[in-house]
Amino acid sequence: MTKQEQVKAIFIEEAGEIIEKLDVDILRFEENSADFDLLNEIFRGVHTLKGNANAFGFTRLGEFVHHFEDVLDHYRSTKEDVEEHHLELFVGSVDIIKEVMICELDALPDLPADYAGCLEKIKHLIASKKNKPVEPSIEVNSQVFNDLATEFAFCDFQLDDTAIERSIEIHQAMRTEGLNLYQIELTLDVDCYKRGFDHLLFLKLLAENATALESFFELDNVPSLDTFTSDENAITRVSAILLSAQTPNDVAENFEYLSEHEYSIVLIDPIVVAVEKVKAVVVEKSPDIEAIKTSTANAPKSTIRIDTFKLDELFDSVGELVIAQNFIAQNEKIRAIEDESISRAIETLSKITKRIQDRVMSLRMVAIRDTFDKMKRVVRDTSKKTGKELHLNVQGEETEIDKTMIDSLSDPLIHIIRNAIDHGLEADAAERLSVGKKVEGMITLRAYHKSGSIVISVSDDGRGINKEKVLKKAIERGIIAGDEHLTDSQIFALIMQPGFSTADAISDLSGRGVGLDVVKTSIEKLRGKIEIESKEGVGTTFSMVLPLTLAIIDGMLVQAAGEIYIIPTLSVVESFRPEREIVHALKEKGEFVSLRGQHIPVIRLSDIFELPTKRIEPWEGILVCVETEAGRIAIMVDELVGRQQVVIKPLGKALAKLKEITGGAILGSGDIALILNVDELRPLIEAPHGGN
Amino acid sequence: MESNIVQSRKERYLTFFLGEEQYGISIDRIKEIIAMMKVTQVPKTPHYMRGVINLRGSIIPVVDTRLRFGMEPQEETMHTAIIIVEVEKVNIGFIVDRVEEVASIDTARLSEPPKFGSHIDTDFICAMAQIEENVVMILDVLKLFEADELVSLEQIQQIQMREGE
Amino acid sequence: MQFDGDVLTIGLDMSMEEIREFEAFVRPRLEYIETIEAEDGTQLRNSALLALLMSLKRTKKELKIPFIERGEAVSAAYGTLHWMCHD
Repeated sequence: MTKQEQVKAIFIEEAGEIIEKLDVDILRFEENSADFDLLNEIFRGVHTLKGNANAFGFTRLGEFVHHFEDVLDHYRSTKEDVEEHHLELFVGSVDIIKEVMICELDALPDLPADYAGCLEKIKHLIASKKNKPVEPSIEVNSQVFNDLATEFAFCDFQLDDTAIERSIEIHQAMRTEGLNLYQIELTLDVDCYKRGFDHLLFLKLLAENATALESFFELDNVPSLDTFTSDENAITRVSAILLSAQTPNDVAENFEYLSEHEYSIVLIDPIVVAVEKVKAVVVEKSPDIEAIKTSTANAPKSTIRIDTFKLDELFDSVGELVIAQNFIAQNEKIRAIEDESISRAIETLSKITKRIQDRVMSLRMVAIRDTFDKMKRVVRDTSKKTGKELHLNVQGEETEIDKTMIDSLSDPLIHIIRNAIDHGLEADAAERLSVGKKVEGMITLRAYHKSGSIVISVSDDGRGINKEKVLKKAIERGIIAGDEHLTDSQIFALIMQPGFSTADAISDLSGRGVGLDVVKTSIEKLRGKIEIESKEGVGTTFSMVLPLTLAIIDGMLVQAAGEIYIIPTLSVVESFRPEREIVHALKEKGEFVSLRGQHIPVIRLSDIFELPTKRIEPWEGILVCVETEAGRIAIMVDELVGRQQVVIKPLGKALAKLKEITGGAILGSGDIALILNVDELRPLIEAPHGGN
Repeated sequence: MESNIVQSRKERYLTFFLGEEQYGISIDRIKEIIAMMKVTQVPKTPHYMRGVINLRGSIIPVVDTRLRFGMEPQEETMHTAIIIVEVEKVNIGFIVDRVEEVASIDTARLSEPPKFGSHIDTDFICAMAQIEENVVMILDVLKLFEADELVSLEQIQQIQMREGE
Repeated sequence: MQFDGDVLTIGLDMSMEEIREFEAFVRPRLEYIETIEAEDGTQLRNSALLALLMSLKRTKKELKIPFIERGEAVSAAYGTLHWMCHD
């Protein structure tokens, strides 16, 4: 049944989410074991996991979770304090759950190593608690039913002839002219189901033309599951009291296809007996039960599952809508019409389109909270491994980030955090105390929006980076020549170059700083950058600056040699038309412009791209000063066209090798503008003077 | 290369002109044909890469087929068209002088390509056909894509296995 | 049919085929089911289900089946049904 497979797939996805949440929650609970609401949430998660696990045959998971749930249930109902070592056990149990899940999904025969041990401990814990008998929380439902039962004394309800007699009496009392009272016995054969009959079928037939119908099922001979099978009729007898205007023949017709011995109809004579009008006791579905049922269900957060593929398609369509809308807004012919109502209509269209775009974009945005929560675990583990006491400060958890970037962020973030703890913080408490710091190291994880980007930073209050050491190492490793003027941030950035390391010993946590250059590449793949700030003796901050979304870029449109190019605004520092005096040309080194004491190389797009164009002087064009990873450069263009948010379109495999271009964008006019990768524009200048 | 299986099977090819010479591409590979439109230049690309075009929101690179095959470039005329070819989801546009027709050619009547006498690198021609008095050279699109590293050798083998060539 | 935690919710209006499937489903999982609830708005359609539920109750006494425990079912379609739930 593929339906079954579908449902199973959903279970696997949901189970994964539940387990992830458990992972986060259990740590939170460890920090604050008095939080019983949290414990309840954990319990619920485990509870749901149990039921689903068993329903789908993941019995190993089911078994473990079943016992874990018992323990959690105990604590949440008694509100007993959870001891330290038991908290550890809980955390360990969540780990086991994670591992068993993998075993189940991959159908591995062996259970994780700690499984048996952990399960034993859990079982012990339950046993020890059971010594003080604690009533498990009673489901409200059953309580109500118990009341119902006593109310109607069903234990005393004898389903034998007395009941039938009572029924006959009642119906006699209901009898009026023209109505017949029958007692019908159904003694269907064992194979009646196979013949397509069942008791209810006949009752329904009778009820169609009946004034009243009451039946009594004899279920005494229904065996337990050992010998039971639903295929065979186990109901020995059904007695029905029928009050109907139908003649005996009509009634008998309903049983046409049954064997003689399977039914009997008795017409009961009207009896003139003074019977007290007995109120018919009809058990209606008590409205209270309904209400209680719904309230025990958790008010679910109103969410809906969406295929990310569909979301991407929606996003693409909105992108195209924006382009088409731009086309109309910028179209010369339409502008020429100069009709106020048209202008207004176009403006409204623009506003609505922008709003749709924002809303669709926000669909892809999720709070970074979950990623940060995962990091709490990393911090805890690293703290334990290094033996360094530390405190984690988290800010801006609610900051939103594009869903597609979240996965790629995890690893780099983990690396940076480990690096901060391992290398950033002082080696031990003594060292910290000797410089007047608290023993506890402080790690701050922060997320915030800044001018169209999202910034995620990791700060430590450790040793800071020693610039001289870094420079020395960099020169040693041949990463730099030594005669460049490097700003502080450029010096710090050197530690992310491949082949660099300031660690004296191999640390197995973050590897000899080998992680940092990989981190840098990963962030750059997301079109972001890493900035490092540090002060010796005070601490270091690594900041990852990422675009709000991968698909749209805020760009400055420039024109050079007849074509339009886009420079990401993220990188732009300023743009201006230089005065002749500040432009210098140095043999072998190209052109420079002096700005506030800095010499910034001028890069002509027409040169780099070998575009045929009339050569003009910098002071006849515009310089766009951008920040690249290798420093500032001034890109020379013919003129500035504008600033726009554009949807990035990949250029396709054929042109993917172009380093200088990251992609294309379709402008409102339908034209294509190439998006420049400013970091790749620099090397061309260095080639002339032989630097590598 | 092709073995001489005498199979009478008609296949359809789009034929087009580059100058006086007529070429054909199996229509299986053809996504669409459009009139010449504005091409945005992309710097630092081979000389035969004209640039990119905007095809309903997708950016597709276009090749000047004449330059690709070492012919002299020619001014655009009203007949100049772009043939969009797709291989393994990679789209490339080929600018040609004039698109002729979709011809049904009996595969039995295809013959080995000439080793000489054509402007194009003969590697890219997989067969020759005769349509009335004209000689049509059938282009091996897969080879072309592979030469431009748009498609790997493995992918080509997979495609060929799939299509039973 | 829905299985949430240890509560199994079923539609009472199962056909014979569905009752057989349900029986097959429940048999190996009886240990993990604590309660069998009836879906709102559903009515008994085939007496085999009544028998099955009774059998389940007989097999696992702690199993809570509110529908069975009530001992009665009322419907315009078939009038009032009664049965005894011995313990």
